[in-house]
Amino acid sequence: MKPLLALGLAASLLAAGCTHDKPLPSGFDDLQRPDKGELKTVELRAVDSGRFWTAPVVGLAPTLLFGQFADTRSFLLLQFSGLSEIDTANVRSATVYLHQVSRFGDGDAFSAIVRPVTAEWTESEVAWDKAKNHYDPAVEWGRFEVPAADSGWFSFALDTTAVDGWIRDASKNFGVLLEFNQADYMAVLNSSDSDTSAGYGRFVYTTRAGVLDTVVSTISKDASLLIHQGAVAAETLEPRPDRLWIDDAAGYRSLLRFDLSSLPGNATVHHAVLTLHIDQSASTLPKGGLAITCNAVVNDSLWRPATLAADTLATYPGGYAYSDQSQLVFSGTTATRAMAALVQNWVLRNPPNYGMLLTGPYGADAARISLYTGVDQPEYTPKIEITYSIPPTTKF
Amino acid sequence: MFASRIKKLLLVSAVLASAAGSPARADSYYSSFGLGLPRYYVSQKATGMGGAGIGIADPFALNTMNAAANQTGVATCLGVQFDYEWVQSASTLGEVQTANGNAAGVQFIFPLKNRITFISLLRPLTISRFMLKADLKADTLTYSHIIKGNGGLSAGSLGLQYNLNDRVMVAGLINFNFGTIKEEWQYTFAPSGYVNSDDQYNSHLSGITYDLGVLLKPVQRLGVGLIYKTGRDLKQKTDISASSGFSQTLPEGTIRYPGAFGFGVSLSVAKTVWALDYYQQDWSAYRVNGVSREAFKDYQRIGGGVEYSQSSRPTDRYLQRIAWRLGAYSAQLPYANAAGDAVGEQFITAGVSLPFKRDNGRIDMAVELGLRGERTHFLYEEKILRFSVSVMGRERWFATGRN
Repeated sequence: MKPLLALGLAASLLAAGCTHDKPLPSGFDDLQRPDKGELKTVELRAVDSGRFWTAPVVGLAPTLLFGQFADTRSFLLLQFSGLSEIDTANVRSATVYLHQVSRFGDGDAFSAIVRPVTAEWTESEVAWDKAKNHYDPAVEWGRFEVPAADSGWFSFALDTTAVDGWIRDASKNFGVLLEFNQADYMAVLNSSDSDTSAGYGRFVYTTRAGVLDTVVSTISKDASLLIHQGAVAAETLEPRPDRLWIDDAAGYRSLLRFDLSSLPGNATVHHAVLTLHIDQSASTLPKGGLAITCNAVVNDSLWRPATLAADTLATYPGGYAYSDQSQLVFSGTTATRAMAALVQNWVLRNPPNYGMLLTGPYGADAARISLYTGVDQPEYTPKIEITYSIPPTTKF
Repeated sequence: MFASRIKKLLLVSAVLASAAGSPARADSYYSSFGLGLPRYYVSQKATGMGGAGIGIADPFALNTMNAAANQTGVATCLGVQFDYEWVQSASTLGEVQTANGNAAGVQFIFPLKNRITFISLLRPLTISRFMLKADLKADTLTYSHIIKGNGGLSAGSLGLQYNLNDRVMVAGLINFNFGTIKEEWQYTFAPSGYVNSDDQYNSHLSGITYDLGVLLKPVQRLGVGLIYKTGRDLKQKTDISASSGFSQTLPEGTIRYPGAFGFGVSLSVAKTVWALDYYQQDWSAYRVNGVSREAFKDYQRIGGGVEYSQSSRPTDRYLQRIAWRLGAYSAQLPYANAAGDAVGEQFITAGVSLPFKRDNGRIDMAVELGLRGERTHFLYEEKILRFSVSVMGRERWFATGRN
């Protein structure tokens, strides 16, 4: 019994009294070590930059873009569901309602034409290059005006024979393409992927029993078809421009690289703040700000747009650019931590420092930000402030 | 019944062996130097007598310092120890109390042949445990830089003891030294936008040393013990694993674990046993990769004590068979300040030994109260209260032909 008591006593002491994480009140400075590590802050300027554009594929965006802003125009694809429930092919009227939430640019109302689409399409893949050969520009199923308004509902009539055709043969229901010849602004509409006030169709028809009835059909699929008409071809790198662009409608994205060779390979990065100078005279930023994200380029030191890939980490640095700011500083708590992780990976060469890709919410709006690269104004060169620690000398 | 109990102890000792990686000491600033604080342990009996026991041969004291002094006869013996320590560390900036405990050693000894005994030991040799913090500010950024140290050097020892003629006993041990000295360096920032870090530096040590021990008993009541322990360049390999993802294994190096010698005398007078020990370990020879890193001095220790027991006859009343111990020791630690003054520690000790199971086992408990360092010449004064307990059992497992 006594040994068990003794063992029990010892075990109780162990369980009850072990203490941890109680630092001694001094002694760190007197710790005998040649180097106890050091916290340093360094500010680095971008040494390389570039920009390119690729046509955004934005069928799943919560907004639709229709119209023209700067050198980018956008047509629309719409397709309706639920028409097979109508038990007649005698449609009296077909009206499409769309909800505009904002616009980029000013100007008068512009005229639009409804064209039939001739082939199946998928929201997640469709772009103008694919869609332009799958509609009939010679057939007109309607014509309407997009009002010169900042927001509100507008509608247009759809050819009833076209709807009759969809009811008779649902396999022919590929939807419609809305196009225009000339527009002074780009309307931003809620898409079918929006949580609120998505567009719909209202179809009035006579049933087999001769009763007039109405069915409201949601827009099952829609997509913006963005067409950038800039001087530079798509997927062409413009190295060291005087401005970087991030353009949601044109699909512009930008590249930056900092020289991290001054950071030792065993440095631990604790904090990193990216600062970009905005050329507001060449920017169009929405009231709520333009969301910009940074991702590390993972595979291409030459920045070839066709093969360039960015990381797909769950967290990445992000910030909002506003029209009343001269700088975009990625200073939020999440942003600095994520930027530190990004820089840390470069230090560890995981991946090597191929630079970062700056992107926006493509297809969500027609916002554009123009950022100084420092080529023409060196004081506005993008900079990153990095706080890092170098490790102590090992004990042995 | 007893056989099953000692087997339980064997099981417990196996568990303790697995827990031996953590130090059985509370925090000490002075353990941040070198391989940590040397742990001096002879036997639990000696612990109550100021640590003096190199010259004591006692069938119930499993002697880890002088293997020759294990007078276990035909019995198979198992002993396990726990240490628990409270330390109040005070500097000019304040004080903090820490406490910690753990298994502190296992001994397993059994007779092999006539006059030859097999000895196996598991024991800590040095212990490092501390946490130092610096609260810093860079412009407006406030942060803490913290180092936590933990670990130490241990030895698993195997050896033989030879009883020449009951007056001369000799023993040799081969020590498989092993251990990990862990350091954890942390940056903790006040603003949430900064990424804290926690980097691990683990230095793994290994190497073989040897112990020699002699016990002379010119007369029955007098014991003289002599020990010599070889030093050795231990292999050392440090792994770095940073929270940043950086990892590195540094090239293998060597650390000189120094040799030691000591001697002790014991004298039985009436119902008392008196003991006095001197021990010195050559920490001035401490080298890292052949280079002296810090101002190290030799570890020197002198301790003495007395045990009183009214009777050792198993037939006497229980209270009469309880042994009471008192002692004291003074030690010069290996670490010196900038002026070259070595840190010292002084302890008074007390202990008690409780027989159990027809006098075939002992529960030995000891309390040590002491002071390490002082604030006039050194950074810290540490007030230490240490409690230790050992459970030891003996029984005959093998027929050896011995009486």
